[in-house]
Amino acid sequence: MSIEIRQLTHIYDASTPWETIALDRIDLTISKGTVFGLVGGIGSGKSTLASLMAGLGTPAHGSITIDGEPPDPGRNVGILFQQPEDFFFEKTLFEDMASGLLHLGLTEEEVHKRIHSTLDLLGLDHQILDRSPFHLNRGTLRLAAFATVLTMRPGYLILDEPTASLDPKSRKRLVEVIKRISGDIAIIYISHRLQEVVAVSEYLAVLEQGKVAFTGTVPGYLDWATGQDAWEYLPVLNQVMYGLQRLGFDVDLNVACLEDAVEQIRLSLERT
Amino acid sequence: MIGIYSHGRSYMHLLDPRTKLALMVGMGLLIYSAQLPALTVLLALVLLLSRASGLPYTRLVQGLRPVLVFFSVIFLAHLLFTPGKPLIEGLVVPTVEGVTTGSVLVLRFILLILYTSIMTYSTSPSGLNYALTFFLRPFGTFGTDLAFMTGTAMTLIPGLFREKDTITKAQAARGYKPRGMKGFTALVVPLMNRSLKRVDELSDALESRCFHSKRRYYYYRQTLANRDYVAVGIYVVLAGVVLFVRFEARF
Ligand SMILES: Nc1ncnc2c1ncn2[C@@H]1O[C@H](COP(=O)(O)OP(=O)(O)OP(=O)(O)O)[C@@H](O)[C@H]1O
Ligand SMILES: [Mg+2]
Repeated sequence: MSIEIRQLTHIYDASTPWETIALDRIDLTISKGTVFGLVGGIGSGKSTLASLMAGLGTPAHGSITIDGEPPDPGRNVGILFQQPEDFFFEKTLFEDMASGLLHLGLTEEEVHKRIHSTLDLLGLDHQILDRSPFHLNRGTLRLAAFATVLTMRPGYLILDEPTASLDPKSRKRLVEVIKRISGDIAIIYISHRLQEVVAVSEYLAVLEQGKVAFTGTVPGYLDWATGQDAWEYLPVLNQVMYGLQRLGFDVDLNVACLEDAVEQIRLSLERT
Repeated sequence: MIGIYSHGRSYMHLLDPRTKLALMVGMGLLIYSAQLPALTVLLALVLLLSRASGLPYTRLVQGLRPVLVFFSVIFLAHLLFTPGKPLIEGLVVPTVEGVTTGSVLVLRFILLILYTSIMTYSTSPSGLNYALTFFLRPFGTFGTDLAFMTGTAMTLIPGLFREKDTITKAQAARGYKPRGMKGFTALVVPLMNRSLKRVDELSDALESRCFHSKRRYYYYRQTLANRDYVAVGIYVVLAGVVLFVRFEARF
């Protein structure tokens, strides 16, 4: 049970002067039941890879299969686009969330059930369903957009920078939700915030100019980044630990949160 | 293809945008007044210019594809509805006159598109905007505003297409099929939403950098070079020949 990406290449505006090789012979395997982090600089091809994995658009070369089948959006894979709060258009949030599901051929009863249970899952107030999406704040809307994708119950869910341009509180809430649901579905988590990615993911891939620069477990990633002597690849906390290590402290680089880091430093001080 | 600029250093690229814009208008007039023999000369010239600007013929011709149906309709209409001498003995249509007027009209459209393609291919949007501002200057603030508006709108168009692409994909991912009225709103509402936001930001950004309509000066001031005079000279000779051929037929 996994997403298999083989020799995937994608070119925008092929054979024109604007030709961009967005993805260059990508090989990745993403197993079910994990959170897979996808990081990389601006324009490194993350969003392109995301929409191809979601079955939106056809790659120039190579193949993507999800549990052996081609990706089919809304059925075996879901995607939350960047800035998803812009894509609402109905008069009420409920209509917006429902009509996509109706298109997929669900009964009205089932649609109601799914929407309400998903709101419960995310801890959202059911009253927002009757409001216009244009009158809700960005944080709530982001969660609502997330809920819309979840109602389709995809086995694989791609989140393209879900926490970008949110305030810390909404961000924390979203990350908590992601952690909560990750037991049941596979999540591909794309973000610029390394700290967040490292905190939620088990596996991680780094894209660099359309190529896979690294893929492996999170501790493996931290080793790789230190090996490369590339500070910018390390989350801030790990940068601090790396700095301390260089100063001669006996600390573990692999810390996921502030508490871990404090504990590491305390232990190290006790030992000396 | 019209509206797609490519950076380069060809003869056409190096011409002053003002020269190119003026000659483009001039070419339009020539094409409008030319008849079949002169049109073939203009066609030969456009192929030459395509070479001179580094635009491959395949891409030049690609620009015609979207309007192919339109051309066929025009041509057919003329073929079927122009009275005159029958082309084939015993049939009322098509007529010889129908074939000639039809092909002249279609050829004119084709030439207009080809010349415009070469101009936009070799002139950057900002260069075009500069030329437009220059020629609209006699109309005062209104002229410069108009030039600025067109220039800004032109730079926003490619972004709009990319946006449309993203929105269609995002809606498809939510289970929408872009079909019927619903599909239309599903595309247009987010598109307006995002574009208006963009435009709003742009106008704020302009204002914060002290732009307002009565104070716009171009930082760059270009002077015409020899090649501009050469180009204008070639045009004058060409125009003379075309007009001579056209009116000489009358005498
Ligand atoms: N619709 C498009 N048309 C042409 N080029 C595109 C298009 N979308 C993306 N690109 C180009 O492809 C490359 C990869 O873009 P992509 O959006 O996948 O990067 P990204 O890693 O998601 O970046 P970001 O961090 O900014 O979201 C970039 O060079 C971008 O300019
Ligand atoms: Mg992106």
